[in-house]
Amino acid sequence: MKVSNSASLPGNIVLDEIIHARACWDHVVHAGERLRIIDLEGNQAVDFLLYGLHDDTERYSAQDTIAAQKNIFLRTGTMLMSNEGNPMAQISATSVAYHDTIGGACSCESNTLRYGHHTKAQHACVENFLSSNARHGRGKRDLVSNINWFMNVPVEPDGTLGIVDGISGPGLYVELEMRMDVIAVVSNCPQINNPCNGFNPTPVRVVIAAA
Amino acid sequence: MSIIEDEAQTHDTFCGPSNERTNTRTYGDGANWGRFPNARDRLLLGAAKFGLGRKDVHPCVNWFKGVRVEGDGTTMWQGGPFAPLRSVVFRAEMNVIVILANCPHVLDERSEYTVTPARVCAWRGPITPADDAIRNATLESSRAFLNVEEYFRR
Repeated sequence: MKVSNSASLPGNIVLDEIIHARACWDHVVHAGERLRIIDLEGNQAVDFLLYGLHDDTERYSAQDTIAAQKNIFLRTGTMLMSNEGNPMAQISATSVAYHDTIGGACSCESNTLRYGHHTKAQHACVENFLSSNARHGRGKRDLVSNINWFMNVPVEPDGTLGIVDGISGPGLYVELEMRMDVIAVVSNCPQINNPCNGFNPTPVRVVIAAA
Repeated sequence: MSIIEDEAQTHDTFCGPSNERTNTRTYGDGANWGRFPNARDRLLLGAAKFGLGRKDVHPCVNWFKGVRVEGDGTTMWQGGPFAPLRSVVFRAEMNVIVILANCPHVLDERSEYTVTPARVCAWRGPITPADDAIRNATLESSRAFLNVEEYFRR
């Protein structure tokens, strides 16, 4: 679905779409182009992976990104690194204090652990990632640790991870400037068993602007 | 796998393996055939001998060298010095391939490429019983073991 007014990005808008609640999405974004993701209604986790367009064995690496900046939070200026130690994209702007890359993606299988086997048939991000990736010949072995835009996962002093109420709000956004040609894959998180989506998955908007 | 003994307590799942780029930056050379081989390429070689490839070298665990996360997200390297002979004992809960790369931690703050030997020992043991303490530690872990049993029934 197209939306009428474009986000306030400089440069020609080459794509402006809504990702429905619970849906997956993927698109090629070239080096120099910018991708903006807008949390339309607030507190919506957006699970996100990047693969190299020309060699998809090179892909986003949460660990390399954390080690490169010696910090677990993704903020304005953070360089998203590949598993080969190369820059893939930089967070050029965000109106949210920080984003998460340690919480991972929900799956039918992890839902059975956390919430019980009655949740196994619910929608999950891994299913969304597989739906998108399968169209490009990628499968389960290609699912690596991802980014959760707009999600708040602090680490307590004893090492415990919190999945707590979001720090995002309606209209807040994150914007990436690509450093290589990539395929961006999104799962607009369908999780309804914890507060990561405020127990109510909602749509997000994606805009790509030319270099 | 379950951790059934841990004398070290300083481990890291956040920072991942060194790679050719990081070792080149830290030591001047990161090539696998050079003096300062990197962990990612070592893990790749281990994986390749089981028919696995580049996409199979996914996030790793760094044993013995730890990282603490501060309130603002900063990672603080816990690099010792530590006493010798610290050990960790794992119990495999399914059939696994274990690949080890004995390389400096990616955030190792020493200017010298510092590695010392590690000893690895594996032995056979019984399947984890239903009344196991780790299995029953939490509802999550008990449901995880149920999933493993279902996996082996397939």
